Amino acid sequence: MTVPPSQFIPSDREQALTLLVESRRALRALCDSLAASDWQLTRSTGAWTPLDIVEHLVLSERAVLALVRDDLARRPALPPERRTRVRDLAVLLAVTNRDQRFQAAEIVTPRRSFAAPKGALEAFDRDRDATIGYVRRSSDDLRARLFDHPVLGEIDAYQWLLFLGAHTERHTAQLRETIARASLAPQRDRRIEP
Amino acid sequence: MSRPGWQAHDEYTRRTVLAWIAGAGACLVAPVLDAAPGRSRGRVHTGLTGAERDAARTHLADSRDALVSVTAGFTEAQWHYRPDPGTWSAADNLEHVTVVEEQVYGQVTTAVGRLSARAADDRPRVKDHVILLVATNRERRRLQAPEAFRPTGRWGSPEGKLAAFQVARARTLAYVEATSDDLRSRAWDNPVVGLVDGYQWLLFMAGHALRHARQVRDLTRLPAFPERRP
Repeated sequence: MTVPPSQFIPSDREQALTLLVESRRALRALCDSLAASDWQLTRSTGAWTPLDIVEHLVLSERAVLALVRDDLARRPALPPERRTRVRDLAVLLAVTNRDQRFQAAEIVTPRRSFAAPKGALEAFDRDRDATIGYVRRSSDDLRARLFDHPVLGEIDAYQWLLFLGAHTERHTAQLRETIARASLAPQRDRRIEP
Repeated sequence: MSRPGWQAHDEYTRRTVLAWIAGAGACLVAPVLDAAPGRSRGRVHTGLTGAERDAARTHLADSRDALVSVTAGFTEAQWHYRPDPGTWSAADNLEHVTVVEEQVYGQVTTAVGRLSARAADDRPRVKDHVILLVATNRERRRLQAPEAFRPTGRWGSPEGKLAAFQVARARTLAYVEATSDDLRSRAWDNPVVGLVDGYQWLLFMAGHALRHARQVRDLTRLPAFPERRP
């Protein structure tokens, strides 16, 4: 619950790595438990299938890492008094709160570009590895640059990386709920996307 | 998405390509709240806008109703039930919400005299609906209330606590209706969210009450929760 430090410090790195690793582990554990037919289940017509959710996570991972890694280098570091005023905990709590639903941006809307779960999960693994590698090795001051987040407000580059982990947790919960609801529905009401 | 495109259009990257990942900012529940701080950064506030006042009123009234309705008809045993010594009873929750309400009310209503007005570019950058998302999220972590806000038996009986809460919330609502304070220009630290302006503190009061209404609701769902009167 501490106020964000004005510089990127070792405990930041550890916190982000833990979140990125653990959120992937939870997602993979859930995905590994799914039957082949589960991957096309939806809660309602037009809602995302588990395969859509994983594709959304792949697209999100790529977009955020590109923002942080590439945009950061092109921006000057902000002085300490101009840095984030949002606590890290607030980012985590806001993103994992599923009281409100949000419309996904076009760029991260699933396009059904993966024919099978295996390909989507492998892509997610590769992209999450890239994020983890960046967090592990980066010498960038991730606290010194702010990027506007249309839902949260202005947060720093480090908080965008925390967002990625929390966002994975959010959609893992959504995936779990999708499967649970579809499993409870009478067979005639179960929706399977073509 | 081509990499050269990202590098060539910084603003496009920032605003359009990365609109958000879990959403394009199209908050389906609180579009009015979504509009407040970011878009108002350039204009001079001399009080709450009609939309801000409406949103605060709605959230404060709804969260009051949630807390009152979840405890309606409670027996003495239900008011004081706690599954273990470390968990607050419904009466404890109500007392805590009221203590926080009184404390925050005092801070908000004195903010204009107490704090200097911040320049437009020196104000909180967190969006209003984030305050509610943070305050009502009970899944991730149980937060420890500071000593001064813990229940100690204030206001006697559960009925006394309920009456104190109703009085405190009515006073907050009356302030929201009538105030011309420039709450957007005053900001101070919230221990969970970070820097929050005076208006956002009002939203936090609403979210905080809703959080504890849910905490009480969860108590009622426990198998050992006392039966209601026949």
